[in-house]
Amino acid sequence: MSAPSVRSQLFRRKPVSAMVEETGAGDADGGVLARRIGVGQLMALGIGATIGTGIFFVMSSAVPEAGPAVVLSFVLAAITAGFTALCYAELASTIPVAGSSYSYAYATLGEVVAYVVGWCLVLEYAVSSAAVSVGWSEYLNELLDDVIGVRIPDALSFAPGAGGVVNLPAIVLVTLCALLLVRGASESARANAVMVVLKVCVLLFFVVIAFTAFDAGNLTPFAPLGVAGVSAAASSIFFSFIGLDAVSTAGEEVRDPRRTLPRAIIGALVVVTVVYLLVALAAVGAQAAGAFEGQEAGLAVILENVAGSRWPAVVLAAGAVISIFSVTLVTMYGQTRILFAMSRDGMIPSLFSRVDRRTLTPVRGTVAVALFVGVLAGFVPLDFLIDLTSMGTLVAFSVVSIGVIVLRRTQPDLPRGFRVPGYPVVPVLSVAFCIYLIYGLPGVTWALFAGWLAIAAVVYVTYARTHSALRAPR
Amino acid sequence: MTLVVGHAADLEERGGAHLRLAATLARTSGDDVVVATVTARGFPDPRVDQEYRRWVDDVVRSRQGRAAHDLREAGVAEVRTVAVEATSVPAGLVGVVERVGGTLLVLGREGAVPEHLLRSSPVPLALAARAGSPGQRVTRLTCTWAGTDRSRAALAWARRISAAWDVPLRLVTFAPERDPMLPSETGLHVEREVSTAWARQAQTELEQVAADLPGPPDTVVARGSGWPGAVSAAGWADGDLLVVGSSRLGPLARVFLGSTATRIVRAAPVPVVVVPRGTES
Repeated sequence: MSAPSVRSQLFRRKPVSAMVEETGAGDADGGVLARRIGVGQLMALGIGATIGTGIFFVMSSAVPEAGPAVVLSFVLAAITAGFTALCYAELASTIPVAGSSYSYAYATLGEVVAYVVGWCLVLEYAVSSAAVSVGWSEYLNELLDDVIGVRIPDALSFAPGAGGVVNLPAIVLVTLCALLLVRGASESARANAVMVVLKVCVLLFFVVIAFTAFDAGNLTPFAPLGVAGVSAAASSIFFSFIGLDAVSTAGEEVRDPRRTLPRAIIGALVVVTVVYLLVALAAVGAQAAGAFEGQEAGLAVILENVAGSRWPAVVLAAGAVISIFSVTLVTMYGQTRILFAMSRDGMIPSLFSRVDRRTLTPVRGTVAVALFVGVLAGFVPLDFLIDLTSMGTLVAFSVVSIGVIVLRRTQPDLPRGFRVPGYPVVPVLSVAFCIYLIYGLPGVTWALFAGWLAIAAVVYVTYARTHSALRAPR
Repeated sequence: MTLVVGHAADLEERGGAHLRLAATLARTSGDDVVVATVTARGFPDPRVDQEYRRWVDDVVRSRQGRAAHDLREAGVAEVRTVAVEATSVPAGLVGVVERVGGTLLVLGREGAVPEHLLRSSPVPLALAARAGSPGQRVTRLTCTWAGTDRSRAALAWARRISAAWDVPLRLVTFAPERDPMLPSETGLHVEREVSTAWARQAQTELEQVAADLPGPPDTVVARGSGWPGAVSAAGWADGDLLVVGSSRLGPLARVFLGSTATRIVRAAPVPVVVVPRGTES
């Protein structure tokens, strides 16, 4: 095979028309939710997808790195999330099909880039599902302890690296979610709105009570490890902003995307960031920075210490158990559907896009995802999972931002429902912030990520290259 | 062959959709019809509620008489009436079916009785449409096919009946598009990819199945949003009869898998025959 043909193979792009045909986006009936989405609902989508991924448990790994300056880390992560979401929105509105950054990359940047993005998204979705289910198990234990005075033994509720044998509650949660997905559960816009209200209320409840114990003395020293600590913490915290892309991908549904999308993205981001900042400030004000290290179900424990009685911790833990459950469900769902798209394109084996005749859902793919997530959740400590998720997401988002620039140069005339304001500054800053946060991640995460990409490369060479739906007919 | 039509004893008229369907089926097949009415089992000692029972008997007799008259008017040659007492309406109807050797149980679609019999009936169940006329005769059978055991049951019944009644058969696979899980980070139309993939899988299979049948029957993959959209996309006319298989799920499986048959029945604009597994022959 000659060099030019390898190159054309690696960078072959999937025609947008083929995507439109696959998803029937051109159908007259326009689907269930067609053009019924306004700014408020879009914001609710973004807030619902974002809050609950990390805020309930990210403090215990972030504060030891940054100290009380973790508040600044949140700001840094929020700015990055905002830039990337804007770039994501432009790409989503340019390619009028359902999908994720994987589909957008396939249409614009070529197969090998899309392939890498797809594997990064497995980190964003599957690994983060595992991470949130580990967090769920912490809060479940806290809730059980507070309500009936029983804890699941450490051996059965922690991963081997965190002082246990297996994290059983996390595995149970993953199994439950998989059952619901196999059954074809869907969560309506109304259910999402209810969840948003619940999550925000629970967090504000925490803020109000924790602020009663605010002690300015806890804020000094403010940044014991300096800038390096702040940015390292921001890299982990970025995890808790994942989900904002729910607004961007809904872009094709919006009547006036040019106005609505940026408002919804910024609006959701502001709400999320304000809530996070309040929570962070209340938390670091309520207890000394040293107390965060290794704290399980952190927010509930803080409330218990502050209030001197158990019921506030019970309320918070119950709220966390419910909202993290819904987040796990949604994230695992996203993973099965991304793998579905990749499998349909021949990037991974067809088992992921096989629809079961009884349930009309991709049952085998769901089971495979559940196994993968379940093993991670049961046997890998939380910190690793959080950092790996941040890594995958940041790389995927960098590619999206680069994609915006590439597409503006290669296909300037393509109709775009939404254009990033302040081009080219915003996409460039977006990439810069992503790289900065990636830089702050620990070495072991880099190593794991490199290993992950190596596996991806092997699969590409041995499978995807020859199975791609775009390969030339022979 | 005998059709058993369940006719409620209630004073309030529930409409005559089930009688109209029974008439259409009987005209098509030449079968005789048994009008069955179930009343509550009274006290063991008849003296306790003698008067009440006599009144119930009168009501039932007059209702059954009117029903039988309507059926004869509608061109059904042979009509009988049976009234039984039972602990529940489904149990009573099953009893009648077994006693008279019924081959098809005809019911209206409203209420809990059809839902209950969907899985427990010893013979296939014909459910009237909510609105519209079932037509003078059945002119086409549409059999759902998804490649499952219950599909095979439905197809076996439909093939037999289509030959016996001399009406054409067509095969349909429904590909409903679900609502996405919100908040979806993969766009709001991601479920369309799943239903597209299913439609593609189904198309190939459907053609293979049809090729092996005499005719061969028409095939259609009906896509739409949700079950109602998919079912209506199949295209319907007066004289159509939809055939659906149903499996005998345990209570737990019913909660987790739900019932496709129930969803299709709910959405169908034409009469539906539900064939519980094991009753097709």
